[in-house]
Amino acid sequence: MFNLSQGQSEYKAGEYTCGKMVAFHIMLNHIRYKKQRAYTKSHEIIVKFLPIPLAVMVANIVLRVKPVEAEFAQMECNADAMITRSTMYTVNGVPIEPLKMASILSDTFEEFGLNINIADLRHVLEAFSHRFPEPDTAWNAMYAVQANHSIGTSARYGRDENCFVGIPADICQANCDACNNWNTVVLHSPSILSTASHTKIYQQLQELDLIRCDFHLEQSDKTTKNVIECQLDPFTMQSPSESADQIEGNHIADLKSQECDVSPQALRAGNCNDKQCDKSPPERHFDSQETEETIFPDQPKGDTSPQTQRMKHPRTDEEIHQNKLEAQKRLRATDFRMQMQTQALQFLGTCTTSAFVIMPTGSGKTSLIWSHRDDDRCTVIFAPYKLLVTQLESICQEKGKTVGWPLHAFSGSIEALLSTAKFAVFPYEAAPEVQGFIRSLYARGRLGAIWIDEAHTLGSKGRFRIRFDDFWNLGANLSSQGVAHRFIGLTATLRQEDVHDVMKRMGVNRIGLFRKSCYRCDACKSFMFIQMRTRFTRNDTGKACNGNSKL
Amino acid sequence: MSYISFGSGPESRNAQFIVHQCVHILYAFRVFYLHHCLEVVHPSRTAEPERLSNAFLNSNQPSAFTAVQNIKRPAKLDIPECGVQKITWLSSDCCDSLSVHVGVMGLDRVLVSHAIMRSTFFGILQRIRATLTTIGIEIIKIEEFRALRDSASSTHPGEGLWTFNPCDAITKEFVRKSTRGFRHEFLKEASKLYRLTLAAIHLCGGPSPRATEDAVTRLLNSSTELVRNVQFIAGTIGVQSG
Repeated sequence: MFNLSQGQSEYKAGEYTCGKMVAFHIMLNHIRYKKQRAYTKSHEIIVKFLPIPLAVMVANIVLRVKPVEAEFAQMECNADAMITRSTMYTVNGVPIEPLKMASILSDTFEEFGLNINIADLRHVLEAFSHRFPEPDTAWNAMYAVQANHSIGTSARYGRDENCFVGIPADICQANCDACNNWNTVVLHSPSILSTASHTKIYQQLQELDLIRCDFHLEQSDKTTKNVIECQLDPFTMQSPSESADQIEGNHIADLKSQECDVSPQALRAGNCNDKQCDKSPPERHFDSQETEETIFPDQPKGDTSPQTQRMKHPRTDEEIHQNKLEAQKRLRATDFRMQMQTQALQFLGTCTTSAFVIMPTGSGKTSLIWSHRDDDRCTVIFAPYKLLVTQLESICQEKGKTVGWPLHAFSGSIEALLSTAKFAVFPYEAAPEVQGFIRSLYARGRLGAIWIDEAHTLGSKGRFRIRFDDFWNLGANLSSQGVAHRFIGLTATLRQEDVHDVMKRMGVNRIGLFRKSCYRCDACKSFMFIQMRTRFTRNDTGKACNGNSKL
Repeated sequence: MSYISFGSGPESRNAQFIVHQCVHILYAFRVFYLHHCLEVVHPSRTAEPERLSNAFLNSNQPSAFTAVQNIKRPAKLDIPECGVQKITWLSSDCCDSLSVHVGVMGLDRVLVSHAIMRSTFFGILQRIRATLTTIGIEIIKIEEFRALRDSASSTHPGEGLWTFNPCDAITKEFVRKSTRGFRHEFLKEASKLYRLTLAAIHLCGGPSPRATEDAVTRLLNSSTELVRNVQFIAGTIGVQSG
């Protein structure tokens, strides 16, 4: 074995490796970009043989397009002709950056309706390749090598529900095939029901008296059953037109006397004509109830009025599976959230004091703002961060007229602002300056609840931002100005021991608390906290007011 | 152990949890050991820390440390390295369609089937053919294709399919007739061709290497990488994998 040369290519993205092979008198040294250096022990050269039409096109590209491109690129872009000719994918004669290739390929596939990125596609290709097993217990290792994977890596790709860690993903399939091969070759009794094995199994079952003479094995075969169902009524296994006649008993005697001559092969091949199909099922239907149960174990007893049933569209397994997945996804997305939101809304409806709503992130706290609002009033919202304020503003704008900070940015008159605004979204820092606005709303009877997003940031322990302290006086000032207000704090992370602290900062002495755990979604607490000693702090006067502890 | 017997039921914990707890306990042992050595053991007893370590922080000795290790290690083995399911077969008896779990946390599904891949493949082929027509080159048909020559033993730098099937005359004639605008258009269309070709190659013949690996598919031998990836083999074009 000779190693003619080693080295690295001019491309720098990743590792490069060298493999070499001597086959007869042919000596090849094979080097190419390869990520998994550890898996290059094999000296085999793996070739992907292209389909002929594609091969002809590639030949055109190599022999016709490339030389011309090399000339043009040299003339127009001053590119090195040899480099242009050497590499398959060039842009203006210059090789493409390898790291960009994944997105380029993904975009290309998307153009043709395959909306999948290249990393996911690799899982797909591996998964399909695992279903091309070799006659032994493993899949064809050649496919794994084509993907530049070891068998172990290949096993981790295309993982399905039968995947086990460290064991090839489709070991169940491989086992199944191996056992079937053994059973077929050694015992002549296949374990997989297929078109080829059907007759043999049928015969053996008949010989052993394990099958009713009028029962046809193909009905238990899903694929065959689908074929039948497409043509027959799903309840009586008859064609719809024949069904009514059947009930009337017009053809019972005739049908019973006739042999069902629909072979499984004919059914599989779709050669079963309507007449044949119409003949075969009634025999099963009327012979005995027991037989019917065998054929349709899931069908409820006493279902004897097929003509009153709506003709159901027979769904394929694929459709059923897809629908199931979508339903599960919907359930996960909506059921959990809706339940929490409903409980929170019920709580806010019954609670007349200020409140804290503690719900997990993503559980729909924000939507409570417009779900729990009086249409005639203006909901005031405070949020701690500029990003949140902007986000809330844009969301609220979809729900109704929204004013933001600064207030003078509002295009209409002050009167219009106070009379028509449905939402007002402010940063915490604006709290001292919007007191007049809140007071005016209150004077017009339009002040709704004051929502405080991320209420936990008001806590003195964290001191998230010094400017948040401006908010601390809002409650006290509003109270001193005779504005009856209701705060509703939204947070996902307020700890129970911090509730009193935040209550102090908000200047409230009585609060309803709704807590929903993200870990125990069934656990829900709603109870009342009473601040035994609330201190209203007022910066402007320097006075401290004591709240009523027995509210 | 409960996590084996009961999975993740209400009375048990998963393997990850067990490992975390064990690791915390083991760290506690080590911290206590350090504390003991610093605060209790007299500095003159220089051999004592090593003796203590060998006696109490050694998995080969029966000790509480070993007992915790013996819980942690099998639990660690039970943590899946890549337990995320990537695909779901859409039919148990027909393995030609599946849904791929994509997106954030694999919550989205993309249906891929042999039929979809086939349709994509032939769509790409049609586009390649149309582009070849657009750029106006003299197309090699199947008859000429079958007459192509190549050498599997070719190792010299610069050698490739082009070497054994020279087409200089055609190229020169084509270049001579071209205008500047056409040359720019040609370069653009050529890049598109290569992109489509690599996409088509990616879909055929089995799983493909990574895109980064596809990007360096070579047509000619070079002085550093002697063997090209594209060859005429067994009546068709073969793309060697690295």
